[in-house]
Amino acid sequence: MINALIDSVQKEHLRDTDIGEFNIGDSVNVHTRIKEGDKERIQIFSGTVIRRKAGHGDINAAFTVRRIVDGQGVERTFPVHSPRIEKVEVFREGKVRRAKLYYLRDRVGKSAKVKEKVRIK
Amino acid sequence: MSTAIFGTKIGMTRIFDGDVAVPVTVVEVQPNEVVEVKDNEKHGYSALKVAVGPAKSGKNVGKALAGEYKKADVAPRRFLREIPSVDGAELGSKITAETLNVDATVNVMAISKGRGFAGVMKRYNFAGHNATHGASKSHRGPGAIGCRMDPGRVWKNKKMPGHYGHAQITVRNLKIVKVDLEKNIVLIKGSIPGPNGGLVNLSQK
Repeated sequence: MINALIDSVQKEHLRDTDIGEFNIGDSVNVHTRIKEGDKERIQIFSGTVIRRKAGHGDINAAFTVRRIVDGQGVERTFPVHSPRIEKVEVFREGKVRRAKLYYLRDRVGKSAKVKEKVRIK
Repeated sequence: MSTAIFGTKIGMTRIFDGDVAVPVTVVEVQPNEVVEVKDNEKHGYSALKVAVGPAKSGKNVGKALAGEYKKADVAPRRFLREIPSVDGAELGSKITAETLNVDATVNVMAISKGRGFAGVMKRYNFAGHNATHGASKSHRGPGAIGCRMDPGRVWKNKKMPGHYGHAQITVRNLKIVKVDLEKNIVLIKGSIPGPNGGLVNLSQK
């Protein structure tokens, strides 16, 4: 239960542009704006979404993307409502049976992969 | 000139200031209504007595107090507090968050959350003792509190269990993120003392 005043403060800072729909287990490209000096460029972080935190109307909403870089697991957590996030692009849908994929952290190689969701039309 | 105003702590959230996420505390600052103007001549110092907090129903206001409110034509509220004088303030006038300087820092004074009778781990961040390895009946105790024959007593101000919290705490030099006069709220960067719904004093030099 959020106080109405707090809600009214948060509302002004919720993002109005959609970052795109994605689910847990999806492989995504997260486009983030990076400032270098006075230049701005887009950096892409791609990996598997292993968790989503808080709902849509909540300013604290965030999601975590995991990937393997040079054999080392790397996780980045992005606040959904941060203006630095340009968009999230799904390039592969995952078939998962739980909401938090923390089990991927204990796995290496092929078992650390999420199966692709097959859509039958 | 120093200024001060009373408000209610509502709670915390975060906002995005440009690209950066800023943790803020929302303080509701309803207009503080002047009940009495104290001046140098009569009282020896100048100040404003203001009514703040939620409305108080008639039966909880004694006749003497009710008379005081009536004089200023102000509805009774839960608290009467003093703030430094503001130019042009008279009986019944409303002091709003407008008096705060948005660019300057603010000192926040409030009563901290009461913890009751607390042990040394909670009260003074003592480390406590082992949970296992044969530790018996002493897990959260203070340990030794002094020496032997010499001095034969415990030093004054030794940190021991006791009442913790519910004390007046001032946090200084907090940044004002925003003053919203329409909603009567002030956003302060970071946390401030006390429970949500508690009375807070915002003051500036």
